[in-house]
Amino acid sequence: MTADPLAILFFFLFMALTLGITWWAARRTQSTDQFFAAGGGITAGQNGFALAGDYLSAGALLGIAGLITANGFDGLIYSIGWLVGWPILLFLIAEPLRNLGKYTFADVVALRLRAGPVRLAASVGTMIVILLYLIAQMVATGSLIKLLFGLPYSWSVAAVGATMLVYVLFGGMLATTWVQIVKAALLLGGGILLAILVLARFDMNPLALFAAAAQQFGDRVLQPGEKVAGSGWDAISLGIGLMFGTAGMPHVLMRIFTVRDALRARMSVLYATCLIGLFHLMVFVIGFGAMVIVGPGAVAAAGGGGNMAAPLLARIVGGDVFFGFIAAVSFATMLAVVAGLTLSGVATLSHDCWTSVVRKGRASEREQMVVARIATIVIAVLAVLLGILFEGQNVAFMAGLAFAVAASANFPALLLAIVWRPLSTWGAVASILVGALTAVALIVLSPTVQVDVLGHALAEVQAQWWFVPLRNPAVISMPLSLATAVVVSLLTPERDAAARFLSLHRRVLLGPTPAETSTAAE
Amino acid sequence: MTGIPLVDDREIAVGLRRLSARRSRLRLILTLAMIGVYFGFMVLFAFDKPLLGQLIAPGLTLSIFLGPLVIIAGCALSLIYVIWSQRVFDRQVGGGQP
Repeated sequence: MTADPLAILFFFLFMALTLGITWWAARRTQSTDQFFAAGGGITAGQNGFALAGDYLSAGALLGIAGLITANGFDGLIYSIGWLVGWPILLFLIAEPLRNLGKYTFADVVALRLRAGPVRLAASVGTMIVILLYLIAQMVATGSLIKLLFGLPYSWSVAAVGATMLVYVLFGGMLATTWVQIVKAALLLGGGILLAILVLARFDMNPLALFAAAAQQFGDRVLQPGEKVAGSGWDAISLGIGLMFGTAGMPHVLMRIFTVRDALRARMSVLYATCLIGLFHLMVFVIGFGAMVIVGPGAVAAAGGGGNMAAPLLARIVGGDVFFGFIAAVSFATMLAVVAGLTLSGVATLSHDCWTSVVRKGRASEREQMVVARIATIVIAVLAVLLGILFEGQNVAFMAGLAFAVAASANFPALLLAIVWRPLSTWGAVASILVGALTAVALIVLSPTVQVDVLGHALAEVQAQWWFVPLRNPAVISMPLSLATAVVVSLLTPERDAAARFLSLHRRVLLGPTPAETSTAAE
Repeated sequence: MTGIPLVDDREIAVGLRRLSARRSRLRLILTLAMIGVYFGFMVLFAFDKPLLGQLIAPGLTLSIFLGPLVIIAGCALSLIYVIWSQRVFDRQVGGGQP
């Protein structure tokens, strides 16, 4: 695949648009509240699109379409798993989170426990999730830009890092939000158009499309298989990681704070859920469209691990202009997700670690902004270096691991902090650390790393006493994290924490009073 | 403004507690429903692939029928929660919230 002039034209148009947004946002971003939460001035509709934009990574369009093209039905398992976490987020987390926190989920856990240890532990969990997910995005981005635009890999990664740095550094949450909104609208528009162009060839009847696929490649493509999502407990474990990981993803949780109150938080999660659900149904059609119209052989031959299914399909059904558009939108998608992740990492380092723990809440507004900007540069440089270092690695396992750690480290502590009165400081700390460490350790000892990454023979690894047969750790690590929280909390009862839980009840329901808002950061 | 009613705390306390209990129950039911729908599907996927692979119409297997249905169920349950919250909870608690 060589550089395509139309793709490059669309690419520059998008860059110009987003840099314009950043310039506009930069003039409005003076305070930390502006930088981390866009001053709480985002509407529910805007935030719904921005949440969808933050969440739908390149994996959602290119990755899942590619999986479906190669394997048929199984790709949908990821689509379903990535959606079903949203209702959980809506029912259990979104409103209390908005009512109790300020910039990060650690705010909520720290509110009724001892802030220092809890924030540090939450920062460890959060940073592991963010770095893993960031590496996965950077590696995918680098190899795709190489394919789409013909740029060398390390240049592509550096270009993404530099552009994202500009958005976050100067525009903060406001610019990042609008980049997400623009990207989400383009991605959804492009996906729907592509799906309609495919269906137009089959009398607008998806069943005719599936029947055509079955006729060419056998009924197998309509049936669940083994390759993509495994079987037995492994599939259940994947499901647990995807469902509860969504509700523990720091960049998703952070977005809840950009709206003014719990009502808007609730509405924005509903909008996001419906947009993401709609998009995934479109991708299902796109994947089968690529299978029938492009052919799995041609997609595999185009390189990029099957990720070129959607762009190649776009070229056939919509011509070079549409190909350029989809390529540019894919790039925009990666850029926006990387920016969102970076911003949540910055909030963790500067708000949780520096302002709250090191300075005990006594940092001036100016100092907080300086620290935030330094943290932005540190994370951007780290992301580019790690992206280059991990070139050619299997990115699916890093993304999967990020979700498993989010489900095991962040979600149990956050949920219990909201609903369970006896939760103690050490219970929360132990739960976060045990969840993060078990998830990472189980993956390292599983075939995912031992066989796929390190290249050991499966039989040789299976003979070791430490061998873990599961590719997805969440079925073990998440219950273990919950159990740790309960046991340690009961062993270290904390009367203050329980009393504060009761006094927070009103605030969970009604939101903070103005006096509480001003002290929320401490 | 967040939805803080301009009434005395003690006056709203009883009503609020009752409302909050109703809301917690709804949240629990909807959460369990979502988990049930999703893991119901995933258990079939994990342990009974032949059943899900049955053709129920030309071009339509049970898996292709149920899979998108799980996605739609997620959106539908979310919608139920939001509508209930607006009709019941916001009206009683927030008063004049937009």
